[in-house]
Amino acid sequence: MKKRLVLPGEMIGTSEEFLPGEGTFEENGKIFSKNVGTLEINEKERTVNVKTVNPPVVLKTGDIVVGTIRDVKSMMAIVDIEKAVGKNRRITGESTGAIHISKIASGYVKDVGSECRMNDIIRAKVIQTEPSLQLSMVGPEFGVLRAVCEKCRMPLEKDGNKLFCKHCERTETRKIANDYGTAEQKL
Amino acid sequence: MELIKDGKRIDGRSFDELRPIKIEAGVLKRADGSAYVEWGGNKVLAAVYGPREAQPRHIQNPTKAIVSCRYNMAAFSVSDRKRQGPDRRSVEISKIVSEALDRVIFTEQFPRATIDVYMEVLQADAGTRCTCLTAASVALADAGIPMRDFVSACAVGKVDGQIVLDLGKEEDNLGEADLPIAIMPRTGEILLLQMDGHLTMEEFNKAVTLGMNACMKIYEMQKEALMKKYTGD
Repeated sequence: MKKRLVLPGEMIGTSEEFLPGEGTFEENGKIFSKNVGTLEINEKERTVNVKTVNPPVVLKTGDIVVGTIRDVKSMMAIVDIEKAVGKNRRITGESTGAIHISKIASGYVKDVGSECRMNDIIRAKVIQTEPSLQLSMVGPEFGVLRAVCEKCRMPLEKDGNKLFCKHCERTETRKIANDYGTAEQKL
Repeated sequence: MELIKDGKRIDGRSFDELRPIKIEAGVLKRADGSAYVEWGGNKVLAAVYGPREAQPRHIQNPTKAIVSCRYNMAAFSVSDRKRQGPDRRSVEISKIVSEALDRVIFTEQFPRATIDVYMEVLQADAGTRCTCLTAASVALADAGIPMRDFVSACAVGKVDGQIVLDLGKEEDNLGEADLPIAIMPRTGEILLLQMDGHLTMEEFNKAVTLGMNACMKIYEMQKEALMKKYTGD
């Protein structure tokens, strides 16, 4: 692996030499860089890639995202995705995803509203990007990160596998992430 | 006013000489990519945001990204205070700059998205659209947006019967023609070409050649600015 800084439109090599990889494009039998970045030549596969410092964030299957529940329907929850975990830039393209009732928790879910509610902040995994963005909350690290009491709007506290409002002494149910209430630093 | 004296222009330049140019990449912290360009008396700041989801949704293009540019002149950028907000001229420049940049960006990689480019003219001194394009191109590269090539731009004009490069303020106001050109330096493809005033066919050809050569010089400066940022830190 050799490294060199290349700029957009800079010729890297010819089609005979390499296969154009990520961050490159081919035109008239020549390979050019698309980005400012370091050139990486994979000698084994004969591919060239250009790695950028802070590339635009395009969501792909398996990415972990944080978002807000915008709407709860009978069969799914709609999420406004705020960001992809571990990325500094905002996501590109579509920013609303759906969580189907079967992808909310590992067990049987009778009612979406008993697992997440509007304005809850959640962490989920991308399971499909085309033709529509689908998310999943199955798994201990996924679920609600922060929720407020339906009556008084004060933040709910974790109490076993339920959420408790100290203010009005009510209990609410959610699909809670294992780090509920403490996830802020990790985003 | 005498614009050419003893083979020299009003500011002492020769006919094919550019004004001093300074390009800096990555000057704004919160933008995804940015650039600052000083071109003679012009001072331009360009910021790139996105690709991000286009809002409202009906403007989205499901096959490619929109490149939306805003050219804006600060109220204090010219000697008489400029009334703020978009006007005929700035709307036109925004449009042509968007179209020029759209050609170099791989927009099909980001369907439904918009790439927003904001160009603020802090000080104007003729040739701001070329300065803005130059800055926008560096800012886009800094934002890590995939591009076919840079965009390099420069103006040519006719002053006192002579074809001269990179018009200054007096030359622009009192000259006979102004011809801004933007090209893709690698292929030489013309992305923007406007003209006001009159040129004969020979003068026009001479002007385009002169402008294209100057764009190649601008291209070298753009590359240098990015090299400096990405190898410096």
